[in-house]
Amino acid sequence: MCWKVTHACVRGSSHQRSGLPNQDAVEGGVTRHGAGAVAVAVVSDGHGAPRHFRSQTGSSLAVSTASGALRDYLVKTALEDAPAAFQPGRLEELKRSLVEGWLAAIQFDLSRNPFTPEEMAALERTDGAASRRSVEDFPQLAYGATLLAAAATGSSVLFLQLGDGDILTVSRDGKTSRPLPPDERLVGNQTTSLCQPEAWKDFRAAWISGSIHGSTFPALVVLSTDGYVNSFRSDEDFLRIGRDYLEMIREQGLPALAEELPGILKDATEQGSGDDIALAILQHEPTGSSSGTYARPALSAASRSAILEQIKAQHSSQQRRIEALSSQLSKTRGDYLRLRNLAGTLVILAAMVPVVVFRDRIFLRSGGAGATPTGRSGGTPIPPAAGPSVPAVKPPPRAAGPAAAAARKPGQWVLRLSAGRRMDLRKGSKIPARFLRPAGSGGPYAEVARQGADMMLINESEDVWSVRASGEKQAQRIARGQSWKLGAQTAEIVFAPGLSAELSAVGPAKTAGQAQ
Amino acid sequence: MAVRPGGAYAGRPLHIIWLLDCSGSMAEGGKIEALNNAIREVVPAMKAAAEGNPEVQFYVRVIRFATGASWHLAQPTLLADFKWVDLAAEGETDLGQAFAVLSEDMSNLPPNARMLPPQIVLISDGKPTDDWKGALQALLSVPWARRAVRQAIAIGQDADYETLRKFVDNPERPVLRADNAEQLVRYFRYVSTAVTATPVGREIPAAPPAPVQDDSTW
Repeated sequence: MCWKVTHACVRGSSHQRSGLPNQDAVEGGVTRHGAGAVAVAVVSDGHGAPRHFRSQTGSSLAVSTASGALRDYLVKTALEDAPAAFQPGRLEELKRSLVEGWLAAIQFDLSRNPFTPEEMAALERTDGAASRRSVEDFPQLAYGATLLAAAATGSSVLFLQLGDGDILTVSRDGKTSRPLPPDERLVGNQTTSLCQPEAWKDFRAAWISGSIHGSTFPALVVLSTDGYVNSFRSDEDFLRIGRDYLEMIREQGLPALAEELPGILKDATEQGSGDDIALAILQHEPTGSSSGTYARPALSAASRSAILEQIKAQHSSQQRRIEALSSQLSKTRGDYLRLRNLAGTLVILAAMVPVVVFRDRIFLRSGGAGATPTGRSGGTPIPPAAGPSVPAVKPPPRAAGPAAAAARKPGQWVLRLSAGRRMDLRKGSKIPARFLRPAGSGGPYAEVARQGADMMLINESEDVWSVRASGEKQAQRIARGQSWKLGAQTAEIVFAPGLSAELSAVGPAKTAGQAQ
Repeated sequence: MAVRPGGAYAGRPLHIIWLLDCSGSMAEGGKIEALNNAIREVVPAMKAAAEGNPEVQFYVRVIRFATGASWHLAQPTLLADFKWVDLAAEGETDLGQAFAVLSEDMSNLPPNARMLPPQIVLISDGKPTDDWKGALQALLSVPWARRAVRQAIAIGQDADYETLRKFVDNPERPVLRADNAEQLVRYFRYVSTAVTATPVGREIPAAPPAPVQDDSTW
């Protein structure tokens, strides 16, 4: 086998500050099949607009359904006869099955987690009644996301792209180019999407085929969501990543780069776009390597948190378990062996559950005959892909994130001013300006509202707050229109010079007693 | 190992363009002075709000229209470097020419997705005196102008609300009405700080509709 795959996904620095989740997702790996093997990498960017309030789940489902479907497609077709597999007619079927697989996964998620009245009310408040109606009519809008994929055998690579982002090929001498034609519709944050009607028609697709040793065959294929290209001053600056990653991999090897990737992408979002970034790299080794394996990053202290965040983004439905794991991990700081065991257990669990739940389907597919890509989606709400996407292991509904846990216990925060006044906060609470400055003018100062799955304290004042969560060194600045995510952590808020407060969560029993 | 693959990083540019009415009627009732003062008050507030949004580079430019239209501030200027030169009021209300100046500029913007959608704020107190309809149609056919966040503030009761509404072309973003200097500052600050405070990945919120005024001076 001659492909290796690595990937990383980081939450945007702007998303971090404003309490938005990581809406990007990535998945990739190499699967052996007889004498051959296929490598697949997929990235997806969940849309940021209010009506796409479940796009974090949408992008996770996109990468897991697509990577499973592409792997199966290549194993069944391209390993033996690439040109036949990539005929226009077959590719059309593949595109359609990718979209249908995603839609089926969303249908399944919705059957488990119907839209809540709070989600719909929040959407209407932030985006208007028309937006709410459009999501009621087309629920897939809530999950809207892009899809970029590369799928490779030893002699061919297939590229598919729906929406913004970049797929690059890097030749052995470092020449970096885009194998797909540009899409003129992608202007100013506008993108085509999996959630639009007949989305398969908007895919761009290309494939290349050649000798393993041929000089035209790419040494690297790089896929990234638009948060990466937008972090660079110019397109030329961005395209230089091709040569640079190739040199880094040649000098240090892919595992060492895998270790560095979360840090590299974190710097990019902080100094560049502020947006989430997902990146996947496929490396082609012409000499053939005995171990065509996924380059698993070693869990260093530096990359541990980024990797955990990536797992969270991909498996949001398993949030609680991961959080338990995360807290355990922090207690065993320095004990790398134990850490690796825990992470390994999680990955195995994630991989095993769909295998157990959908064993019939998986066995059917591995049987080969009769399970064509387009045949899989007929009349069943279950997504065709094996992989960790299928939310069969979701905890009881509504556990979409740390804030969702908070959301089950409304009214559980208290704001204590250093001046001595206090106020209980729950969903819909409005802090009047006079609460902070009794001698000042009236009007709203801040409000607690739900945004997506999170409960937020929204700054409606002209003050630029400085908010620091306990245990954090750095404070975040929250200007007018920005918000602070309310969670279990205590936070110190400096609303203005000399006007500070402590914001803390209170237990549900206490909250019930305080209900006003 | 190089720690930074690729060339230089940079925040994403967001262009803010103000279309300001400098017709003769703006000289009445202290409107032009109020507008000049509003800009001096609003820019520091924009700057403060932008501090929470370090990944975006906000550039301001200004088009004035009276008899004819031209760039009052042609060079895209970072908030930190912004210095205001007062506008004077005299002449007609050639809004159509202002749209034409803007159309030409927006047509020359690179079509890549790196730039964030611009914000265009139109402030006017009267009825256009030239052919604005064709010019607006041409403006809204330019992709970046179409994609821009367009907002309008009407000064006083003589402003042409219908024209401003057609420029905004979005029922979710009502035309704001300022009937005195204080309201002009308030609404101008609202729309201007909303854009600099909105993080990447979020929609810029629409300003609330103007309340019915009982202390009108214009």
